[in-house]
Amino acid sequence: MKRIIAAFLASLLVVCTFGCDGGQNSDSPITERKAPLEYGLNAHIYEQRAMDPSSTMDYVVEMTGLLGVTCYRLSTPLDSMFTVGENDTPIFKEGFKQIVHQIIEKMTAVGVTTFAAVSDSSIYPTGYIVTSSGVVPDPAVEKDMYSRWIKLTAKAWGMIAEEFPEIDYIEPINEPDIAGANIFTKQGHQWGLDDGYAYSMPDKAHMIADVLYYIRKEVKEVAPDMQVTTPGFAGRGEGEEVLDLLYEAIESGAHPFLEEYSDTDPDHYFDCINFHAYLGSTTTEDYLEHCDNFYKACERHNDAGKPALLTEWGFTDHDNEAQEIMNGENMTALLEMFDEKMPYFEAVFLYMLTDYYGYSVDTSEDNFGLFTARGDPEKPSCPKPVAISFYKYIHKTEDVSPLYKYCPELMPN
Amino acid sequence: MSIRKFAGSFISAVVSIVMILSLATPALAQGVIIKGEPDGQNKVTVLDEHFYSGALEPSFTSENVSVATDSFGMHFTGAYHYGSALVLCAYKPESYSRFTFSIDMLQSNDGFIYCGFGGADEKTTVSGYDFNLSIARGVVAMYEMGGMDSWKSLGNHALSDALVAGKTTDFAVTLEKVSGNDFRVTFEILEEGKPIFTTDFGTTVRMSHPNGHFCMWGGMNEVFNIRDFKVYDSPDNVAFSDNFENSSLTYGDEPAGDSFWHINEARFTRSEVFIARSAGPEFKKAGDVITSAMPLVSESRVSRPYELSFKTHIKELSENAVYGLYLGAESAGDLSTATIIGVSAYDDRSAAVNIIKNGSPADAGDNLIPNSALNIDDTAVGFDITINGDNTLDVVIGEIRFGFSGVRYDGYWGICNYSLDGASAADARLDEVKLIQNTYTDCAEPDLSNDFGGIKLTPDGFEEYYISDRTYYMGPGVSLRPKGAFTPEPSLYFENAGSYSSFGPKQPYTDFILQFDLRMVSEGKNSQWFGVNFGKESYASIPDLYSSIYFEYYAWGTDPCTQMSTNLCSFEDGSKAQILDGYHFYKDQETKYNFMFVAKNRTVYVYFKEESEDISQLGICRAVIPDVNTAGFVSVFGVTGLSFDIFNYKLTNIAPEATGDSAIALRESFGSETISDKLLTEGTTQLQDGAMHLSKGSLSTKAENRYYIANFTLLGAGSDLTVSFADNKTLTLSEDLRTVTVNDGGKTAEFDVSEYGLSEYGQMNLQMILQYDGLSLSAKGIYEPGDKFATPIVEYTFEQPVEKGVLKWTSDDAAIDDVQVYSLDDTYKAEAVSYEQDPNDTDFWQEKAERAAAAPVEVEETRSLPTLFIVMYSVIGAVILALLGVIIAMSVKKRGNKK
Repeated sequence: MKRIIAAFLASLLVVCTFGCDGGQNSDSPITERKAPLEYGLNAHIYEQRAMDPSSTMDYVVEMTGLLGVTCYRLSTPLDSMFTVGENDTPIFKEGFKQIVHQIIEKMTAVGVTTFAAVSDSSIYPTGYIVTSSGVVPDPAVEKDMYSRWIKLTAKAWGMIAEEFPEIDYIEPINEPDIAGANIFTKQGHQWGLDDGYAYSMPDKAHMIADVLYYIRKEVKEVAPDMQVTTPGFAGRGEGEEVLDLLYEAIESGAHPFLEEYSDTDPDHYFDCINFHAYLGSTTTEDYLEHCDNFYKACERHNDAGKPALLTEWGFTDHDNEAQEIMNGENMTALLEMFDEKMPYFEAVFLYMLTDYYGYSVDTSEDNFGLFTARGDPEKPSCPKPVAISFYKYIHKTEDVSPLYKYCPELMPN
Repeated sequence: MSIRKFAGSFISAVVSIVMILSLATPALAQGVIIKGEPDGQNKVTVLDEHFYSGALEPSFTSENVSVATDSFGMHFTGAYHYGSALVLCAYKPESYSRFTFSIDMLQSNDGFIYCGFGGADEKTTVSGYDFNLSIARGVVAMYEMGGMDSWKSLGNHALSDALVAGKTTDFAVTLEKVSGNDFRVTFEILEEGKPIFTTDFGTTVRMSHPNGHFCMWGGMNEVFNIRDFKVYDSPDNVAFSDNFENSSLTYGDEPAGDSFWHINEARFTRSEVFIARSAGPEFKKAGDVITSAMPLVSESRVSRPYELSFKTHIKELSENAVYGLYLGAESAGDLSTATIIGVSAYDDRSAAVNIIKNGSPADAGDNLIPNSALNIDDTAVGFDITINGDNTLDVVIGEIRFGFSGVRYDGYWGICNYSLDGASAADARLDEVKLIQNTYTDCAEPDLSNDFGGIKLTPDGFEEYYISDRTYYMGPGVSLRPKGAFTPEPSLYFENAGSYSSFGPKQPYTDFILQFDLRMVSEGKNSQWFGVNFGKESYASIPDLYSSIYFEYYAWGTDPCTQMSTNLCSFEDGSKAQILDGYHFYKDQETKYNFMFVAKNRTVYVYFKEESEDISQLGICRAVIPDVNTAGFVSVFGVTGLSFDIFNYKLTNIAPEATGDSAIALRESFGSETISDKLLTEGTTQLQDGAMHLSKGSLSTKAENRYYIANFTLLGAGSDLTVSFADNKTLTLSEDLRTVTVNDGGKTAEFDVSEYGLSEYGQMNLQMILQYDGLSLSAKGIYEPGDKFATPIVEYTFEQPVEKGVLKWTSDDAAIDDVQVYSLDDTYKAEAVSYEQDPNDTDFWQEKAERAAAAPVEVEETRSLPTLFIVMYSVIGAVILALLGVIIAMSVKKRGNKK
């Protein structure tokens, strides 16, 4: 009898074990990395209307190759990529489209294999005039316009997916969760102002669910392997719970809002989650906890195992030398942590190649570069300690002389 | 509710009765009666094709008609994109640069054409230019530019007849260094190369980019061609010229390279600004035909659904060919199913205007037109065709009018060379085609009223004023006054109004009465104004882009006063601005003013008075703005730092589709067993079949109105119907529907209305408008277009302005339905709409979820496989556990048995 019991228990164990591994949506968190972590980069390219005329495509491509990263986050703002013709028809702006093709081609030539495409702007149905390019028609009062906007947006991303098959990840929305954000605002909002025209974060989560649903549908029709990510959530405003709000919106049964049915499967809305995390003044332990908490939303909503991206991370030094040095040390710590303790990330995209030049937001935003600005007349494209740490980690070398190509006189002896 | 329902019982009675003698209609006081142009509510230019792009598509399709090429220019289609301009790349100004160019003005909306100087590079947006010269129809001005929103005027001069639609004007702008970076800018209008107008604005300008770029852009939907562009580097030497034959233009995101011109932002498309290279399609052979990509559809709700016009050069006509318009074809280019209206050769002096139906000539030879009127082998002749809803056509060729009936117009249309013998053809070239559609926009949106005193409790339990942002749009700088001791009366506060500061509903309206009170907060200064926008495409759009009336603080060389002005529309007399006599809305910060705007049948009527004045003053029409699109979003706006308060906002939907009673309007369709509590009955009345039957009885309003629009449907009358109002004044429609008698407190006037054929309607809609001292009555059959109301069948002026009184319908035998009374005075007050009452604050996400849950629809499940596994494993697991339990139990039992 013991044999029979043992046999049953063994088969039960086998069945349960097999059952747990059989679906992607088990309750187990990711504890081991499935593939080596990929490193990526963000950069401003002059041809894409960045303000520093020296930060040309060729320069950015060269530095990307030099740094040895394999991923690049392409800027594909919808309002730069498209005009909207009659009957809500998106039409590629040929010049901008060709620039994106050139970037992909040149980046591929220097070893980039993975592209994420992000937009931080909107396009609008024919005749719909907005006060700011982050406005979304109000589904409560303009359902028809909201519907047209969603379909137009989805169609545009579908066209991007078809035109640029090299893209691996579509990040359709950038940081909609920042308090006073310019994205997902009501009519009346004026760009750059925290003027009270933002939708509530729960409302934003509902609208994001809608637009993701249709974008993913369009993208999958032309590029089944392309992954649609959640917006790059900043984790500010609603904090790490913003992802919970998105899941809750999907689970509410209200989506897709334009259809009579509901679809509560998050897999139909996004293929991987995506957030932005900056160390700032916190410790690396806090940073790890922040990212873990973010990721645990998947577990809380029966979606554990979802791949994750970090499409923005990095350091600002506020133009402060002591901070630069500290950032260099923290860079190594974070890189090790990504590798060893954050197995859920498939790729992490460093923000940003160079400091701003010719345009200023504030001392924080201006100074995220691995390098000083290419156009900086005193220190053109000079590596900061973060660049040195990054380079050493990626290349497993102590020779950082290639980083000083544009400022050889500043290379330490 | 059906308005046919009472037909049977009354029609026979209606046809039989008495005819009473008519009297002449007394003259009407100016602007008193609200009526409108006999057009649809929304006039849309759906096609305006000049063939400049050098191709027929996408406006027309054709198999073999080619487009002639003999004229060149830079074409602006009226599209406007903030900050974008056409930059001259091929030449940068030196110490002396004289730019000369011709402007063909194709459409003018009283906007501007700008020339900018001192752009850092071809990518610099307009706001980055140092100076601009602004050319408008009546004025040329020079501005120093500190960004788009803070121009400083350096002087201006009045112009006449520049930028007039259909006219070509030659301009010269000379930039001449005076010293250092200081330049003199001279503006000239040329005629045959000689200046007929010159100004240098009496000043010099200091350039931060003395050799910066020159650019041009158009504002306010101006449609024009720039031709024959030259730059002189000395008075006699042409340094650069562009006749646009070999010109080049690149768009914002393209590298400018060697391009002559560049659009400095990636906002203009190739169809918005482009190099024009065409003169139009040529018709030379039998069967040459082009077909519009936009077929016509029948529309019975407006009297004139389409207005079509084209200009054509006719070189030669044939006796056996008809060149002209075809309509109503079942498929594109299928002339055998179309009606063709065009011209054929007739004799030495005349041509015939023919109509071909289904391949056969009809009425040929009856309509002749002198060859001279067709300008044969000379200049272009215009064909203007008005398509009426009753399938009649009014055709004007040159200046000669023809009428055709029985023309089916729905279907494909185009221009054709129709051969009667299969070979003959006219020789002609088409220059331009324009199609205007008069559309009808349903509008059933609710009335809105708000005194801005609605209350909402904060989470802390405090009361604050509340307004639903799902119902109303409040632009930047617009907010409710805070509740408290400093706000004795709730209001909507426009504080330091900017470009987007407007307030209005988030739903569109077509015909409406807008009322509000206004009091200045700031003192007012030049270039500040407030106003009302009509027909906006988006509730948040900036005011400049759409038609508006506005009230401007005006002290340009005068004592401060208020100027009433229009934007993208005009007053009845064609003017665009009038200094107000007796009203200055900026005179102090204490006086409150009452405003009322009535939008009806594409016409806006403007009323205002000081609050302390008698209400009758609100009955005086201060201005009429005809032929303006009012279908769209309506908003109150302020600009340029003005601050003011709005009180008692009311918006009444007076479109026929509006239904249901509201706080500010009476609407009763007698569809239930009770009637509106705003109405009373007396005598013998009966609610039957959803109508009010008066049998020696009356129906009256409880409220005493003074001025109003009253609509009702007369389903049938077996007796006279009298409508009475204040001061024993009455209007009586005779039983036979042939006479209307107006009783002016003893004095009577009779009107013979038999010519309008009311007795043939059976059931009819009537509209009575009473305002100040004027009365009008309009009538139409229930299935006739609403714009028929625009022509009253009776107009009468009382000796004195009408006083307040109830409105009463009395008859011995009549049935009426769909009674609507819209106040044109202060009868109704705006509501305080509190949070608890607001019907718009439902959770629409939750509602959708509940709807979906109630009607589930299966969707594709990508998780179906794992889910299936889980279910399967769960079942297997349960079975295993059950079996295990049984086995264990049996085992225990066995052990027990052993025991």
